[in-house]
Amino acid sequence: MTKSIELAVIGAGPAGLAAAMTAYEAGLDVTVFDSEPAPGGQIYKAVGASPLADVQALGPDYADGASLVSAFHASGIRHVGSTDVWTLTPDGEIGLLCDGRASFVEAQRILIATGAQERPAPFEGWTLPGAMTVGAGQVLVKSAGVVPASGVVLAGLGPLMLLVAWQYVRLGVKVRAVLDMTPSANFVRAARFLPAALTAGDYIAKGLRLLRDLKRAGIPIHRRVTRIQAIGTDRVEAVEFEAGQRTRRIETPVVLTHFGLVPETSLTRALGIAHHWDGAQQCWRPMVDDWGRTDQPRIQIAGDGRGIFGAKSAIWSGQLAALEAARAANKLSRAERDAKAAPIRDKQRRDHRVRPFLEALYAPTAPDWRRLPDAVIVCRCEEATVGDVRAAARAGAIGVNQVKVFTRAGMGPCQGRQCGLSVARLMAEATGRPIGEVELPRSRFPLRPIPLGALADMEPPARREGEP
Amino acid sequence: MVSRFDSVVVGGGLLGMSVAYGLRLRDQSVAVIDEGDVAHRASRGTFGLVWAQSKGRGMPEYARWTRDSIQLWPAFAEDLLDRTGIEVTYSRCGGYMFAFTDDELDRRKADYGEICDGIGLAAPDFEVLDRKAVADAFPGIGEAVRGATYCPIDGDCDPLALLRALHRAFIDAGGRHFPGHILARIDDEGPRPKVETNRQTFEADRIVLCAGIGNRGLAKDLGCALPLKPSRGQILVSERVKPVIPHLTHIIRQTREGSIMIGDSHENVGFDDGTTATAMCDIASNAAKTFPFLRDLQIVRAWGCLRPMPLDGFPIYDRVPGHPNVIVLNTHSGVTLAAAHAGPLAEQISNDSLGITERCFSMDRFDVQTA
Amino acid sequence: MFKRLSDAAPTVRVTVNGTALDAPAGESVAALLLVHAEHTFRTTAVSESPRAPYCMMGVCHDCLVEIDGVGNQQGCRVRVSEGMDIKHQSGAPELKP
Repeated sequence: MTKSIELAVIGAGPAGLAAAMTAYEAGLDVTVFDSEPAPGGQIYKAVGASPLADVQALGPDYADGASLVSAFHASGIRHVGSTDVWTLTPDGEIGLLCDGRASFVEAQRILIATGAQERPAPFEGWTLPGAMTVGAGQVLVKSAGVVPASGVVLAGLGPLMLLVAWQYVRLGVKVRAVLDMTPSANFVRAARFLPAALTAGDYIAKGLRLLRDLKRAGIPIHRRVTRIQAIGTDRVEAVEFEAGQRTRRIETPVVLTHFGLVPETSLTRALGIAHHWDGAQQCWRPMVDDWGRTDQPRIQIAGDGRGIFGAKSAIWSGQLAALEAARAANKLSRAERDAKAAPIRDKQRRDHRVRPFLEALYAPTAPDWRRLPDAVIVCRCEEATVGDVRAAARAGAIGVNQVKVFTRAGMGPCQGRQCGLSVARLMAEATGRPIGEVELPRSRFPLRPIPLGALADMEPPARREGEP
Repeated sequence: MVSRFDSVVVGGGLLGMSVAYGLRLRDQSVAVIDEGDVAHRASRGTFGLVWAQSKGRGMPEYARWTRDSIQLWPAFAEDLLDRTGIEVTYSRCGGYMFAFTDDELDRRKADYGEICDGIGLAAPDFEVLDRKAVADAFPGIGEAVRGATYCPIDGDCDPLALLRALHRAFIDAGGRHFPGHILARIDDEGPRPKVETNRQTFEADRIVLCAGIGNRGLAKDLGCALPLKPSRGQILVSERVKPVIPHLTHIIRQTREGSIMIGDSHENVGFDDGTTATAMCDIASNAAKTFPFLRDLQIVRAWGCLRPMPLDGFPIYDRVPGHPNVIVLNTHSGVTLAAAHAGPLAEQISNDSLGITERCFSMDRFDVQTA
Repeated sequence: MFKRLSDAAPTVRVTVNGTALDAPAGESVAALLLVHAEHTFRTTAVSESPRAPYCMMGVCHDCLVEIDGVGNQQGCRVRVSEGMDIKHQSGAPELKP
């Protein structure tokens, strides 16, 4: 591939797909790079090709994704699937890995739409087989029509947990309990944002309907849960939890947890883009303007990778970023861009009114990091524990990157995606600083493990241009 | 605020901490000023080789100095373990360097022979191995490998543990460490040399510059064009795999945890402004030629490190011209020479005999222009 | 631990730890193992602790299995294909010189 692409979109979730279509309509030459085999990202995974007999069981929002994905297919925009981006140079050379082979393409502009990941939240027993994320449950349902065979407990907080419980009930899965870890104080804090949230669309109404349906189905919902523990010798056998003064135990082979979503920032950090800590969303976010532009001229970000605002907002942010990319490539005038953007911004502004409410209600002040026993694993790959991190802090480490050197946390194949946030939390705790002052974990290329053979066989960009 | 010390060491990396520790052992009051934090960045760029092979061609004193350090290493490692409980896992297991052509092997044999003669060894302390011997030692070795040179005194250690141990030992022995200080000015005009940082002033009898590549800027402020350049090196690190590299080699090394480190060597290519992808490709290509079974190995981390490289590759241990109380130290072999730095080098610095009788590591050998 | 809601899809033949199985075409290796095999995919390199998938989206690297002789393959990202040989992994994978 020697031709330079005008706009490379990385990620084929709602933001990436919407951006690609808007850019294409404006006359840009666009290619979408996607680590999944088919478009849809995580939220619309396998939509249109689901093995589920009854896709409606997953609810109307998932079904909406089908029209977005078919529009994308119909557009004819080039979709390069099952391909990972493993590096990205300041000159716009994108390193691709597909089927064990590494290659490069050059792009003039890049839109990063790689989305979010589940917030990693260690608890006792979370590494046992059978303990997974709610998102994992969703992937299994959507792409394989696979559900827990003999019951499941869901634990944590956030809309996704309730949604999956509801989907499972509709699919006939035995939901043994929902353990809601939303702290009571959050209800109070969120209350003042409720009036605005009610004008944002039907989020609240939908949420209440989910809860009503779960109640009607007789699903036990335990509230104000403050601690959970997965129990078992070599697999999950039960979940123990504390709510109020009581400790209870529920037998289950599978426990799915969810503590909210956070932007997956390995690419944006590796690029050296500035990030800031967002106290309301409790995560690091890359710094972007309202066109998704970053401090690096070729690079924009759209979707949940810029901050968690939901699927609708992801679509609009993709469209806005694409309009600006088209203007930067002289396909649209500033006036044209702004005219097209105005109605999108109106919709987005209205939709965002729900965010302060959701962010306050589902602020993950649980689990209580101070109460986490030393033995809990914090880095799943290298098995570094909470105690190891605390010891590193006592030995003088002041941030996540030094903790890595002391404990190996972050040195495994997941490259710190599952432990970076947790280690930062623990370090804030241990050093008595607000987490916003703890340094950002360093991310480097390759963005994912890459076989040595792929590196050995590839043609690096500099050589292609005839340089020695 | 002014603090008084016998010696102020600028830079808390491997070189600075080895020297600072050695000076402290010799009853000097020592302050280490350091920009960074406890786990210093310099150590990341090293394999942790404690290596004699190939060193000293063109300067027999360096070959001797390297061997002196290796002789001191076991006691040095033991001392650190006793004092701090930190095990730096020094292992003198012998080391291999592969050759990809017969010419290369012959050349190396001649070069090493010259080095051994130059330092007056009764018999050469290396062996030349043919392809069969290499294949016996390394099952699965690539067809491209024609042979290897082997040196029984080569070995390795854990460089991160080494830095932690030096730091701990220094502090426990009463040394003072000042992290988060950025050097503003060295003032040795008056009777008491001073170091001013962004946070306070230090007074010392002598100032020892151990800031690696940063020494260039510090020396320049004192009117000296230090003959040093940054040499960028890349390392690839893999996921853990079961033990499969049975012996120590100079560019492919399997750690005790099982991860395989694959590096460049200065002998290969100058990685000056090459893109990271080009460097990764070269390193990976060499490794795959050497051990084709590594092709399926997953690389999880890669980084580049700027190593401070004196222009001829040999150490600089000297006073800054015109500034007799300011010593500048640079070497790219901070791990191998750590024992010598904490030992005889610290000795020379503490009794002010550095560069008096021995001038081989001074800057005289370069045509040093004043900046 | 898990079950399929329907068995209607066309299948391919694979082996899992030596046992032949019919797997729905296009399913991920991880989903297949969760439905058919034991709960443990692998034991860890550090402490030989049992692990199985955690995130199912390619982030956690806990679903590592040996596929066609190559270890450390993410089960959640590889789709089954005819004749595929899937094995649990014990500790760190082994390279074969």
